[in-house]
Amino acid sequence: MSEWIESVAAVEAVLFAAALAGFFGARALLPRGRAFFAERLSWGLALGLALLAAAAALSASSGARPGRWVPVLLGIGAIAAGALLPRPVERGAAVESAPARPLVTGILILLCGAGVLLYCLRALTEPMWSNDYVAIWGFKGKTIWAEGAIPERLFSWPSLAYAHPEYPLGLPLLYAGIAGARGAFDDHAMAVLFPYLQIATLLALYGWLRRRGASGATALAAAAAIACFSSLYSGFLVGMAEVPLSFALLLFGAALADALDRTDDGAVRRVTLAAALLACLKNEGLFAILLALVGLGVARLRGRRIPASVATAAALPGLIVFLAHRLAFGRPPMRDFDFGRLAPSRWGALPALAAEAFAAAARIAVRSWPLLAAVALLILIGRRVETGDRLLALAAGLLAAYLLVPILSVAGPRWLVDTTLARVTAALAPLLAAGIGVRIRR
Amino acid sequence: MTRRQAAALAALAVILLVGLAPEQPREISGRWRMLESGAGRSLEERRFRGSGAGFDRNFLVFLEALRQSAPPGTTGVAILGPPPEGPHRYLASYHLAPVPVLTSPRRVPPKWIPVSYGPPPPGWRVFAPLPGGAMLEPAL
Repeated sequence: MSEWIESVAAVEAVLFAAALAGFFGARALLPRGRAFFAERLSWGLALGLALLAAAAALSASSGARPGRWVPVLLGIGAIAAGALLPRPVERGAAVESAPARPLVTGILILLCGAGVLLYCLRALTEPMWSNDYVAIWGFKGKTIWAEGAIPERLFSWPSLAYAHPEYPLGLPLLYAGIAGARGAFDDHAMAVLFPYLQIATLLALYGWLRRRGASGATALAAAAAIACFSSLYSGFLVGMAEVPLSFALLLFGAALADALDRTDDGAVRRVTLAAALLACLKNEGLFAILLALVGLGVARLRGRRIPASVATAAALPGLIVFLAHRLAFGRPPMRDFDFGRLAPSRWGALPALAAEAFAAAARIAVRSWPLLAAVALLILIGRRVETGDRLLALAAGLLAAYLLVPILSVAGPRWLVDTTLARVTAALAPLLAAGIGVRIRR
Repeated sequence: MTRRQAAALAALAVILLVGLAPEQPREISGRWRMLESGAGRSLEERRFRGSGAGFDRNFLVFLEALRQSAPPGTTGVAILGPPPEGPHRYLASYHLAPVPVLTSPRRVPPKWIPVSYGPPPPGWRVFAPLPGGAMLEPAL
């Protein structure tokens, strides 16, 4: 057996074990029943990966190199928690509509499979290589794994400012956790994590849409569209935070919608876990949480009854992660942004900066017009469904933030839009697909 | 089929086409060949053939030799030659992690190993040659 295949098999074994522990732990997150099974597989992987990252954080904070025992102990803890915590109960029967016709089902499953296989090929062709992986995510992960600590220099050395000390450490810790459990930092074999994330995203999307009343054809079509979406599942984004973020955004949006609609009493727990994942992955995750909280506040002002538990579940993990990062590593400067531009004396310059950002975004939109037109058509033909509208509003809010933030870019709005807008927007696709799917239903 | 369903189907077809469009059969077969031929090689060889080193493959050969020759417990490595910021710096920091790396610093920090990628700059002489560069010591 070649060194590479052996190494991929070892990483797969780590991921499988983590997902299995997560699956049993997810018993405390989702009610019993076939309607929840696909989602439980997906939440199981999310929980398992969170355990691996947490194990690396625990090892590193105690000065030990991430290894096998801490994740095993955490996995046992998760399984025990799953067994001991009261199992959530469904409050209303899951709304499952008729399955798709066999031929349609077959074609759509084939498309999903093709999307997954193509992504496996893109992800596994070569060791992870994109600039941001090498400079940020992989660099920090390899450093934490090899040093058995989170070295202070990652946050304080001006010469390492390019590695963005202000970014959350979830993904680097996950790399360190996988490498610790595997016993080696193999940046080629570890790329197999990304197709796993894709499959988990598809399961979450399909399962949630079916449970929330979408027809089998609609749910599978949404999954197929996402599986084949190569702007997100590209070779370039392998190793970077967009794919994990897109998964966490979908989990967060779906859980939040369930919690607001009170589908089951595990939804609030799911919101908590998804918010923690979002906050640990990327600053855009914190944006998403903030936007959701603003949305909840607006709904409350309009007379909607929003349970305090839902807002707390969304806010608390983000707050804890944010404060923990500040306390442990200080307040690294966000060197890419000039917040001084928001000072009243400089407001006069903002319209020109916004115009530059929008012009750059418009150029990207023009290049992608068939895709944008198709998405617009799907939104237009959908019916107003509060659950779907909420998810679309969250995606739209994030898109608006991505369009506005570049006005603060030190390198200029155009540079930031050109280098990031397409990929951060692509990460909204699964969330958008959930919102559209639940509005179309049939 | 209702109009709504037809519109949804058309939109789905467009999304699938746009999503799959970059995937030319030639690219798929190229990736497959790369995967097949790389499977029997070592991780270092696969990394050398990959996109990460595409901007300067000799630099990766230099880094790998440096990684193997650096003594355990190395405090840091100052690589003279490549620009202070940019892909050389990122790749060097990643490849040699957790050993801290600076590229072309104004001065080499105490106890750090000075190396050059390319010929040694003035004031330094070769202590041990490396492929494409050398470990250095101050010229007397």
